[in-house]
Amino acid sequence: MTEDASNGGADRGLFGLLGRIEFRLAQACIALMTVLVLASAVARTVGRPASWTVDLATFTFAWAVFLGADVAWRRSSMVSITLLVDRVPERLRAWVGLLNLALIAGFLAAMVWTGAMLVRTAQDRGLSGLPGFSYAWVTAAVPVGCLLMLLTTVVKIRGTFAEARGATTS
Amino acid sequence: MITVFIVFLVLVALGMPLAFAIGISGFVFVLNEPSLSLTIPAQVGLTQTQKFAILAIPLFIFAGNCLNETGITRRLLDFAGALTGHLRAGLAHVGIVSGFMMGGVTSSAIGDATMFGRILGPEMTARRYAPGFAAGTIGSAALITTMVPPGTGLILYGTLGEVSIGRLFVAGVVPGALMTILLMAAVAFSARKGDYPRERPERAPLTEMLRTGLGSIWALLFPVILIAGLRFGYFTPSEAGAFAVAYAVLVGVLAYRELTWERLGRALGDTVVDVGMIMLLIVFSGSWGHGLTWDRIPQRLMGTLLEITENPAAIMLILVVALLIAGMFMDSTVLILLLTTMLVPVAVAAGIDPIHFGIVMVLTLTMGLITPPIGLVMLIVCSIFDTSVARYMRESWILLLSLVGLIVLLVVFPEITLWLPNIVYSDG
Repeated sequence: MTEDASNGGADRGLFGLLGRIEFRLAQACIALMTVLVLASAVARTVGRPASWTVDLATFTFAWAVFLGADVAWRRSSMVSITLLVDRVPERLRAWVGLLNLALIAGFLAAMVWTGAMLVRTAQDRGLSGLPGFSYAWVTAAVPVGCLLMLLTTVVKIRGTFAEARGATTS
Repeated sequence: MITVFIVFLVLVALGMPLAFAIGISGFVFVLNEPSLSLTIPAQVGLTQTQKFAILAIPLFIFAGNCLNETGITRRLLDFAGALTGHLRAGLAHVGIVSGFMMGGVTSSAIGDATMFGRILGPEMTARRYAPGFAAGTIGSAALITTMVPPGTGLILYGTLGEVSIGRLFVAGVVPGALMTILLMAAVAFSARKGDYPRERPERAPLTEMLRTGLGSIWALLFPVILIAGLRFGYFTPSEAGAFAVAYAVLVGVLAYRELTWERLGRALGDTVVDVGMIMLLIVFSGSWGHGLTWDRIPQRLMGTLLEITENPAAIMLILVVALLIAGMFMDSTVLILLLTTMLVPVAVAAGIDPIHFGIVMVLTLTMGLITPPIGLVMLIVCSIFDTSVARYMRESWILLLSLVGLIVLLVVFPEITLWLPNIVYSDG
């Protein structure tokens, strides 16, 4: 549960608050999803299948995934293979890390942009089980989640710079 | 797809998190095909989360995290201790037997390795187990989890390859049990050489075995209920996952009375991170799947393979060797994600049963978790026991060898994997 110490105290302030909110929301999504799937199983067993439970469950899941992805990204708990990078001299390693983060930021920006385009086209698409509920609400998980991760990436980039400056002054 | 693949490898080598390396290289594919819309990565990525079957993954992860908070692990360890503590190198046997039993509760080898290492590690060190051997035991014990239902690897394979998850679960039971026996044999062999102590002078009395067995009955019953429920169609795999969570909460509150709101919240929090991590991989791999189909990679691969040989066993052997090598350098989840849709059609066309292939493929790929250079589980256990990879290899090679032996057995004799599902599903 510890925040990455290298983020320059970014767990305080607005960014930290955002992190706590997204964490709670993701927890709520997982809990709700579990209840909904359970409800759909019960409904089916008693002979009254309720397709809205399934639609709503996948909706909460999409949000759990994209919010949870940022939680994992903030905590730096994503799997990466550092076998080669570990052999690179320390000065160069910081630059490689920076290059990675810059590429990730570019990719996430593209995902926010294309995700937003997707939301626009999904507006008139409904969900069979949930009349009046636009598919755009499901789609929105992509740009919102990617925007949150983009923010985290930017904070990580800033943290790297702060660290480099700290290393040269001390 | 070649460009995509090279971009992917370069990014991985740069140490970029795998999820983003997959995402960026997949995006490159869409950029390279002017006829494709740029929204495809976002679209196929989202589609991955909208399949009802994939919900089984977060739900089983949640169920496992809940059960961990109920104190079931300790009870299983007590039971395993009563069963095997009198053997030479008792603690190592306890680790392996509980790996098998925990497999019916948890779905991820990495989680189990961390947990067993934390619980058994200090005792093993105190009993002067060679650190490389202790690390190897815990690591390979955690690997059993992938075979005993429910396992994330098998769920992923079943969802992506459109193979019955129920049958895959049943098919994993015998290989999981064989794995346990083979690993225990390997431990017994090493124990004689290393002269490791027994945990108790003689076999535990029957009453103690019964008492501890009853104490962990809720964990032991779970996979049985799961398989029965899936077999008789009471629930789909995803519903089974939700049921598993309810089961875990009920057991924790009513039977063991150890599950509190605080612990449930912690399980939920751990689940958020686990799900975010694994699902982001799945989401971003969507464009890869799209690209592989677009470029007709499975068909081309099949053509190449058929030029070499037409014997199903030989084709499987070629694939297994390739998977074993790939698994050594890449995360097993990523490989299952990228390769299942590609290889299942190849296997079926070559006359290999997709259930049989799934078990062998998942086992082979997860082998990579405990082999150098980058086995994730290996790195975890080596850091727990504060030992080097070289020492780990020197003291645990026999454990690894027994697992390779198991894979060969499974390839050569498909019946080992298939007889149980054939019995359970005989009239289906």
